[in-house]
Amino acid sequence: MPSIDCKRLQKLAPKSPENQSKCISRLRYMVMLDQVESDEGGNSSTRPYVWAVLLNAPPRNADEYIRYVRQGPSPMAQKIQNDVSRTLVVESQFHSRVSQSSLSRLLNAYVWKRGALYVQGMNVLASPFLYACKSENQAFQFFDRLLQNECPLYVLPNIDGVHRGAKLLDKCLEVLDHRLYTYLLSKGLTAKIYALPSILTLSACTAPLSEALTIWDFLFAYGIHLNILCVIAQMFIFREQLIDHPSPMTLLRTFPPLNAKNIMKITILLISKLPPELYNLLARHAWDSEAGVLIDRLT
Amino acid sequence: MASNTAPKNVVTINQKLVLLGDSAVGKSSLVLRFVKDQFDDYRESTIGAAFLTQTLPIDENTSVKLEIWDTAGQERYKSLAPMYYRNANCAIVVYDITQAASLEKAKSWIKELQRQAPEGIVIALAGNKLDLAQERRAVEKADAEAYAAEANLLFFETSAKTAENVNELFTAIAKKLPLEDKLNQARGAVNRGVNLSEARPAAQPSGSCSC
Repeated sequence: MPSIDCKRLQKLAPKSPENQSKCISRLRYMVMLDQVESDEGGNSSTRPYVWAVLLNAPPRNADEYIRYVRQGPSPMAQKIQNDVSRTLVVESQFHSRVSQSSLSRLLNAYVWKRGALYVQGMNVLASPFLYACKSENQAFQFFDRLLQNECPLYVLPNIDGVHRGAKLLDKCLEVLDHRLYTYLLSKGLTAKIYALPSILTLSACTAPLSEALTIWDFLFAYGIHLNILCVIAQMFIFREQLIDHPSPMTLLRTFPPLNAKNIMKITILLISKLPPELYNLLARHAWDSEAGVLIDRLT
Repeated sequence: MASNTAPKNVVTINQKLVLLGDSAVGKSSLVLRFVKDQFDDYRESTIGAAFLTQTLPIDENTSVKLEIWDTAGQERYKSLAPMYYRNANCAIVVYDITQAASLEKAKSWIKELQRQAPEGIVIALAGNKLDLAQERRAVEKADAEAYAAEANLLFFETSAKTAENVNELFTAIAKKLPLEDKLNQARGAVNRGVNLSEARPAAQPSGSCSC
């Protein structure tokens, strides 16, 4: 199985500004077809470069980040500390590489920089960056980019975008798998009950982290809106157990271990079966308030 | 699909199967027909055929568990097909016997598989909608059969609607799969007390012995 390493990445470098977008398209396709090289724990020297391109986050020096760190604990420090201590508790490799203090620093720095409230779930969203990146500063830049550009509506105090994502998940599931949708509904289960963590954290709340990183490669390549379909794909993988179980919520409390390759393959099949209008709302829900108005009106 | 516990002396080998062909040739219906005995109406879904598994007995000691991937047949998804066939052990390329153009498309898929899919992939050509042959046949069986023979493909005309030749198609593929190496590994694993239902298929040995 070919994988993306620094050598292949360098061959993709644009020869001129004119073919830059073609090179990025090529990278996106490669990310989908091939894995980004990594060891079994998900460590990869290539991934930070792939993410830098896909997130459009060129290197920045650490002065800004250091300035925020020097400001010390933010007004949200206590809430951050509570969450940091229970972040990705089952991921021992994560904890051996990323200290609680670095996660705290990054989250506090974000609060200082954006004058924003800390929202629970940001701790999980920050963690893959700290695990994958070469420095805390790089992780901070990528995290800021993700939240500002890709899913600003997810990290509002009311997490409006996440709730709309849950509504869209129900709408997509209704179209894609009516039987599973109606069965879960008959048990009182909507996506707001079982899928909010997976939506908000872009599936990073489900182990193993090494597979979540590969899903993130795919989401950064094609858009984090596809995470909604990735969650449906995860459900689809244990669909028979869900439908056979009298209390499916006991199974949905913790999704099965991620299998990124199969999730990506199913997700692409799901895209091909969605009505275009629904897909359009899906593509915009995490960043476009006007789409939010339309989503809120869906019955 | 209820998963029966296999008797202890039966070895099950996992294999990936991909379906390719134009939209509307009936790929999804073929899969649903094949697996349908394991489903009641309650479980059917719009994308029910997207990703299914089905276990087929080969002989009294061996079963093949097929992981079946239906693909999106629309033209705009063509570039995504490698994602599905790249690791596949076998492929069914489907055309519609009432649409001559769909056979040309099937031939183009077969050329792509022969160029880019894993070497040794087992390929079957399936002419679907045999139930419409009397009034709407557009592709002569002999022509497709000759093409398949020349390209060393399995060949069946099928009807997902009436179930004609559907089981035969999947069974022929399963029997043609080269399983000897995996069987030897699996039997070795069984003899060492490994729980195969939990194990991932072993990587191909690269000169190391497994004693």
